Amino acid sequence: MADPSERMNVELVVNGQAHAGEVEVRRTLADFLRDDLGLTGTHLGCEHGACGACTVILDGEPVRSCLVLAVQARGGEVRTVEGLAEDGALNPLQQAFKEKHALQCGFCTPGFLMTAQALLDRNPSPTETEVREYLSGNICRCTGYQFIIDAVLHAAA
Amino acid sequence: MKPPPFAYVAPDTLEEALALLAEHGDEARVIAGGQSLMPMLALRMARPGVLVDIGGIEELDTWQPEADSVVVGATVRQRRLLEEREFAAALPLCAEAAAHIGHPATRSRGTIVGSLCHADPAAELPVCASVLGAELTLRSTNGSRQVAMADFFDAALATTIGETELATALHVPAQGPRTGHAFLEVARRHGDFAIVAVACAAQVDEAGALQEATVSLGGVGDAPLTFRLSELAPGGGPEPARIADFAESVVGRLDPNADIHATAAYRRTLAETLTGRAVTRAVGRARDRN
Repeated sequence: MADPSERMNVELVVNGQAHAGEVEVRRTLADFLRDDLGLTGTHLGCEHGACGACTVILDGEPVRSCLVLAVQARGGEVRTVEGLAEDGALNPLQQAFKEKHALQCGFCTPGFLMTAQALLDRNPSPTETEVREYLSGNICRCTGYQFIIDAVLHAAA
Repeated sequence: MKPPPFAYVAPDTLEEALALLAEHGDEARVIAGGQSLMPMLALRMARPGVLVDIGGIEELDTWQPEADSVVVGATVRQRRLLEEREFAAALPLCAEAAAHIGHPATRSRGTIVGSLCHADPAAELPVCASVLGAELTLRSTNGSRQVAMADFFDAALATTIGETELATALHVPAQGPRTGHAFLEVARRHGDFAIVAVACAAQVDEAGALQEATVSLGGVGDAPLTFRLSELAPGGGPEPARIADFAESVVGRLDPNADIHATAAYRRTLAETLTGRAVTRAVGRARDRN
């Protein structure tokens, strides 16, 4: 068994592409994605798990990337907002956000998109209540939420 | 903020994990789901020298029904209470509470046992574990012991776990055929920690009459507080009046704090109302099972 170490190699798959890096073990997955891989679509709001802006999908589950160490994601598969578009075109969820005015400043949007995508992946036809509950961990300061909910329901329809 | 520097190790076996805790003592912290520890690291409220990640230890990632209990391994995720029908059926009270615990993106990582070890006085699972009479298995290189919830929770965010001990499993005793459960909580927003949470386990006799109700309350003290109907409202009489008397007696035993979320008076009101509702609902469910 290895001894405790302060640096480790991290290998994982992000949006279908293999990546690797050597990092301090205290590096969060969020910072690894943003600073080591240049994928700055994942945003940092509160950095303690409350706002949801950093949400990504890890091994099929929505997670707070600010609360996962990069070393804990070794060997895993990550989907970020950069991986939603299909052949360069907005996917149905992103298109719905655009059509329904579900973003203003856009800071919370990647977190909402990944959370909503995780919902639709497991429940393709959610009720409005189910959408509200599933998205309740994501904070938006601009929109008042209603158009975000409309967008998710529209994408599901 | 970013976590302070620490060393990290992910043992493959329980024995390795226990050896690491024995070696590093109070410099070591265990991480599993990380949903409580990572915020503490980010806020630099914790500065461990070594993080021992038990997430890769397969034997901790299972739950199983046994003859007279349900055993939940240390790294079983909270989301499984909502996603696995058999698990929810085995632990219906915890499954009812799970919808109130954080959000999907925290339940995907957070563990049931981890929440108990974090011991937030307003968390849902400590309240459930208390009312169910559950016990935790704590292991170290020196041996193993079982601790009841009342002896495990010490103060807000503090437990009696030893410096080199690891909580490996939660044991929930079989609740009996004429038992019903209910969980109620009031929070400012869905998924927040509770302002007040109440869990109830109620038993009825063969004729369906109320025999006993146990309630545990969160958010009203440093740790869950547990009360029994048979002790606080022993008399007979019409059931609604007896339940109301019980709820009133429970509140009489509370000394809740005031904070930015609620006054002490509001917590008392919530405690009384939620206790009455939880007992009524649990008794109804106990009857429905028969």
